[in-house]
Amino acid sequence: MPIVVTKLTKSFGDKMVLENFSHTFPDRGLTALMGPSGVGKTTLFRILLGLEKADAGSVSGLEGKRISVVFQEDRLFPQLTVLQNAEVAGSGGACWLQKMGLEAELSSRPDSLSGGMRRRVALARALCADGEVFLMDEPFQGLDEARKQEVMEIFRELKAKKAILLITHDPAEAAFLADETVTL
Amino acid sequence: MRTSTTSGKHSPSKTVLKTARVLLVAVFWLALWQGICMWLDNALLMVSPLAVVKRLIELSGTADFWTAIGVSFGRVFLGYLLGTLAGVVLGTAGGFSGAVHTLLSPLLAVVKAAPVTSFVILALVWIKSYNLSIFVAFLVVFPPVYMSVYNGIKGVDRNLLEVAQVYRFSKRKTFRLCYLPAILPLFRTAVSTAVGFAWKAGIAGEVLALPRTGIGTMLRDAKVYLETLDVFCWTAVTIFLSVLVEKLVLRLAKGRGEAAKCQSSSQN
Repeated sequence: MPIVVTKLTKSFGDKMVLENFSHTFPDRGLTALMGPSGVGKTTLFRILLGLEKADAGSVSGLEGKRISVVFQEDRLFPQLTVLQNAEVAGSGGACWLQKMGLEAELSSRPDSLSGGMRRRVALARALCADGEVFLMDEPFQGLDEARKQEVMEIFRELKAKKAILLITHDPAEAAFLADETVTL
Repeated sequence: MRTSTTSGKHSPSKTVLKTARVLLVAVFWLALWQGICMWLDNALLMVSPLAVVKRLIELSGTADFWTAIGVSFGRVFLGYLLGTLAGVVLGTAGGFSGAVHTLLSPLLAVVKAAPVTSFVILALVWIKSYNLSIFVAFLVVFPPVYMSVYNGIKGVDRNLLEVAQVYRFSKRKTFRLCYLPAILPLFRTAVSTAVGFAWKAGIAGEVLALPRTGIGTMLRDAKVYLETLDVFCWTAVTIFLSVLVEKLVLRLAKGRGEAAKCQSSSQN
């Protein structure tokens, strides 16, 4: 079942962030959302996640679906280990963390990791959660080129089975991964 | 390459230096005390440290000494426990419900601002003198514990709460992973400082309420009969027990904190 967004409108005070945005996202494949900062990409994600209420419009096709999310920030639990963070919403953490090149850090705490490593833990957490829909907000920022390529490969394989919405500012990422690019 | 360093925390030379420093400071103040005592040369105004030690040894051989300590300790501890319990329960309720916090705010403001003696005098009308120091200890412990829990809940990381919401954590799991780590550091500080308040206020309550026995009663009796030496002795006992209990609670709270941290990790 596709995710249908109809005439979504959201403003913060006087500032209109989303105005009558409509789009149908297929239930398989990767859609890249692009556009300059402040155009409402993250707000759209937050509305889809149920973290923000739209002023008008509707969203359908997400009811009862499990969502995996990579926020713009890593949002890891500081008191938990890397493995526990990855498995906080699902299983298979050791496997995904190994694919992310973090097998030596399973019992480390997030504050002892580099920014790129923490990003990969956040990605592993989303993969462990095994959602039917993936919402990812600039998920590859902070990764070095070689690692980024490896990680993007995982999502290129995954998109055949999942609906993935990716916010990115990098046209190369979109060109490599996306089946469709939406510019807001 | 990993390098290992020896932690200086428990290195023998540092321990010796620290002990020597503490001893030197103690010697300085004891000498000053002794000097003032010799200069005044009046046992009614000031007694020597040696006389206090001698008298303490003498008192510790009596059953009354230990009964007074035991009874005072029991009362203060009970008040402390009840104050902590009420602080945790109501602080949690206040943290999650604005209405509860608004309702309790005037009470907290009054308890924090009013002098303990006002409460003691007022409470003497309602409560038996025996129970008064329980009530007083409760009153001084409740506000800081309440505020620590309340501020912990209010200061929780909203980003992590959103993670919990998106991944549909149970309420229990959300509390354990998001709220508990925010509350615990503040709670630990509150309970360890409150124990000193409780002890001092509890003894002050006994001095005013004069129950049949207790450190406060002993202090008051000593003052009435101009037994300055005993006043010093009971004051020394109060200070010693206050420091001891504070250190004990701090260690317990720290231990519990670590245990909770491990528990929150292992139960994940």
